Amino acid sequence: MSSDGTLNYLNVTHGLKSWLLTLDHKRIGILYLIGVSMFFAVGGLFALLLRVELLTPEPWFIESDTYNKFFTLHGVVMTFFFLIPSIPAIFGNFLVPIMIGAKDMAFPKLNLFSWYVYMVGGFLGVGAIALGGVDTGWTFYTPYSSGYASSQVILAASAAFVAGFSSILTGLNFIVTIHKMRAPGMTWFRMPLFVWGHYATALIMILGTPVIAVTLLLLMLERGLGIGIFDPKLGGDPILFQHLFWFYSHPAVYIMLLPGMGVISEIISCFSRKPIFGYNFIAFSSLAIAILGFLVWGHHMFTSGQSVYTGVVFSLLTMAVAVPSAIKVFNWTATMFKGSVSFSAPMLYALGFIALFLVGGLTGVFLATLGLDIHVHDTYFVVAHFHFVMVGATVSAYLGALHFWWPKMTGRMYPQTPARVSALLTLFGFVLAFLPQFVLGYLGMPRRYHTYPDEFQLLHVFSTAGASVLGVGFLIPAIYLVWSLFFGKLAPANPWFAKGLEWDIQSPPTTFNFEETPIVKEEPYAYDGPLPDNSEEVLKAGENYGV
Amino acid sequence: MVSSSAAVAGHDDHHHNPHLAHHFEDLQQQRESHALGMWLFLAQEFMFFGGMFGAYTIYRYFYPVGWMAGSQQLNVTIGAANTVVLLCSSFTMAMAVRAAQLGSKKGVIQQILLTMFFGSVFLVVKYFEYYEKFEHGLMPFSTLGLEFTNVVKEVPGAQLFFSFYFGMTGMHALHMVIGFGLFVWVIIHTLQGKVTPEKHSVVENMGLYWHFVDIVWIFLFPLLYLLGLNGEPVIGVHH
Amino acid sequence: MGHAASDEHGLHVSSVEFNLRILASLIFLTFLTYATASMDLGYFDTPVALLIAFGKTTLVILYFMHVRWGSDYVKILSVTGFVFLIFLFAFTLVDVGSRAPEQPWGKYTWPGAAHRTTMIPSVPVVTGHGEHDAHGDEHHAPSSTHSPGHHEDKEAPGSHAQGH
Ligand SMILES: [Cu+2]
Repeated sequence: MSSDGTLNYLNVTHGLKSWLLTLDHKRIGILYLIGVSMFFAVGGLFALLLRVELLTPEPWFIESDTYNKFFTLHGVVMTFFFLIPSIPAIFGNFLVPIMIGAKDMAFPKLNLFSWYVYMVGGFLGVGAIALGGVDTGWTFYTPYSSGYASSQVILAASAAFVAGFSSILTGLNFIVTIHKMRAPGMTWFRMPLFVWGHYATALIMILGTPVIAVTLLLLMLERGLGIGIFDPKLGGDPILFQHLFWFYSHPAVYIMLLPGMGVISEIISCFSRKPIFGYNFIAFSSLAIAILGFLVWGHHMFTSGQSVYTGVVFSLLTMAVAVPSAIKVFNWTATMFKGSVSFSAPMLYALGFIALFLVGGLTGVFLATLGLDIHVHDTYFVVAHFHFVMVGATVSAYLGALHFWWPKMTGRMYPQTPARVSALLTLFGFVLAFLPQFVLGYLGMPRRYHTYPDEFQLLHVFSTAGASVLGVGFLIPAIYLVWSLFFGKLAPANPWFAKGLEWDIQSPPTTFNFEETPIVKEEPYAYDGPLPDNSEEVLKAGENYGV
Repeated sequence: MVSSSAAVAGHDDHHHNPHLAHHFEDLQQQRESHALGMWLFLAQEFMFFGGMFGAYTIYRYFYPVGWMAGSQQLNVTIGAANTVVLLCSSFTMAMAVRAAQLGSKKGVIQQILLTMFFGSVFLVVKYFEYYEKFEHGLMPFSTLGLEFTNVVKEVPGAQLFFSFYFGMTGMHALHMVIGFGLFVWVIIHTLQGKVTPEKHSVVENMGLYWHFVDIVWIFLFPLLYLLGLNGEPVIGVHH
Repeated sequence: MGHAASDEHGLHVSSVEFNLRILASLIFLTFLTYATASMDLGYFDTPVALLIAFGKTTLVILYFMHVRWGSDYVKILSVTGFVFLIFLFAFTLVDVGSRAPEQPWGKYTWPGAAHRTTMIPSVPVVTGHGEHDAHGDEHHAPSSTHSPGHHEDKEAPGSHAQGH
């Protein structure tokens, strides 16, 4: 796509085959970008249909059965095919090797293979939709899923099962790459925090994902072969399914969040023109979140019949996760403090992340409180909470990353003004969509219900309006980013005057990233205050910033 | 983090090495990466089986009697003999790695064939064990028309025991079958002369995988077979 | 990057005798676990069996899988799985252990709870618990193989329990 004649990873070879058989981590990142965007569109479409249906207290354009299928597909597609792979598989693949000064991931073939595994999983999921859909909710709770649901449970579960292996292999590649491929001088504590975030995420991918894989496998065996595992009729314990399911699925939230937090650290530091505050704290809090995250899953089961003793322990441990999370937020704020902050599009998304994560995180502490959870369990309060964390925060980080590294990935600049508008629009739309849901939940609106009492209608209408704004906020970037591929200004190597190895090489990079292996001599985030005024370079940067 | 892009004094002799992939600096880095990747994969496998062992533990706690009754339907002698067979295959696998380290192509292939031989013995015995369970009505696959009709089903939990027996040993056997496919690939790799004393990660990682499969069985044997050995027979004991 | 010669450094080659000795130990431990399982150790039956299994696993991991001579990171990795599994086991077991029906907060009980007589598996007695369990009386004795309609297996109902 670069038209200035220099060779880069995009124009070095041509043709579909050169993409489908590529071993270049950057091209694989782009392949993921295409796949993930596709599934994001599918999941978003279902979300919009649900919100439109909920405009009225009574059903108006879909049956209740269809409604059940829609929210299940929205959940399955968004969780397993958008949120979990989004930042690590796209930006992690693209950036981790470059950021540590490597030519590629440790296992390029495995990397490509995991993209294919992901796509196979995705098409199994689409197959489940085409063949009638699933109605169990994305959580696949037994015994409904294993014995009673008459929908495509096996197909949908196998989709998640298969996608899980893509995640495991990606995580494996990250850890080996980070351990073994760092350039000379790139010590552990010189790595960008983005890389630390991916290291922590990879740990969860490797240690958590297999557990849900085996759980879904047991579920499929129970449903397919009729053997007793979780079915109480055959002596099984359905609560055990929930234990095994959430052993992965709670840490999975951190698979979505930790890479996002890494993105935020990069952006905040760059657009405050200050070194990140408390590097070590942020790095170690990523690891702490990854490990603590394995000890809290029971907070999803306070009303399931899990013993109260266990509930108390899970409640306390869940609150403990707030500590490393808060450390990160404090450090980001401290980084901005007295910095020379500029509000480019990536920075707006990063600020949106902090705001939404704060709300999502704090309501998480409410939900971790045993007594309060009894009241709001399985209500819209929970729905709003996890959307703030998983959609508000993670998608903000995802879009922030997209806007920050787009010039590097494609070699093109996008127009700043629409980008800023859409950043504000997504924030506004998101809050309008989900703030009313906290109220709805607190008033007793249960999740996954098709109908509701008339007095809830106003809040539901607000929520749908917000979802529509959010939809527009996602659509605008899709338009100007694609536009920029063809008509955007050529991007310089370092449009943001950012620090980090990826900004030292050309945009877009060459196939092997570095002509010669770099030797790292500086500490990370060596920003030294505001940009000097009036130099030609900075004036140029001003255009990129959109000033 | 601006970095000067000075060249690393590369090990030029290594760069001509056909065994070295382009993105690695030297063979040691490459070998360590392969070993690390395999260990991470095994950690993943560990958690996969671990989930099943966890479920096993919970149900055994719920149904100690049913678990014992189920276990007493298994043939301990055959189980023990099969354990020894699998241990022997682990030994020959370790010998295959040794042969690879010493650069003996013939040794690698011989030892892998031996490993496959022991593995097949194990699987054949397993097949007869499964068949015996089928004859005794101990198969819990109701949707396949294989009803759990054995008298032991009177004991709560015994049927669940067999769900786990087949689930766990089946998953273990599946891993062995996958291992056979990998063995064939390793043999081809070796015949092509791609295994040398400097570069034999393929054989080493194959060994790690096979030893892992062995370890799973080391736990399955006491947990499935030995559990019922010393209690009073609960019901319908065969042998 | 490191400069170690790849064939001499970091690679341990075990001798044939050494591998054989490990194999012999593993087979010995297999017989040992068979023997201890045949003895009535009461509460310690399962712990002993697991201890021996862990012993065998340690031998395989250290010597067949060469972790003994591996890097520190491989050493850590080889136990990471165990550590995270402990999380899984500990919390689920605490849950089911404190979910017992006789406790006032235990609203939910597992379906077989009433049949559960004891945690110790070496006491395989299904006693009739009175109010339920219509079959209970039938099968707490070895002689229960007399149950009607069951064939073939009568020759040696007790030959299995060698430890007694
Ligand atoms: Cu959670």
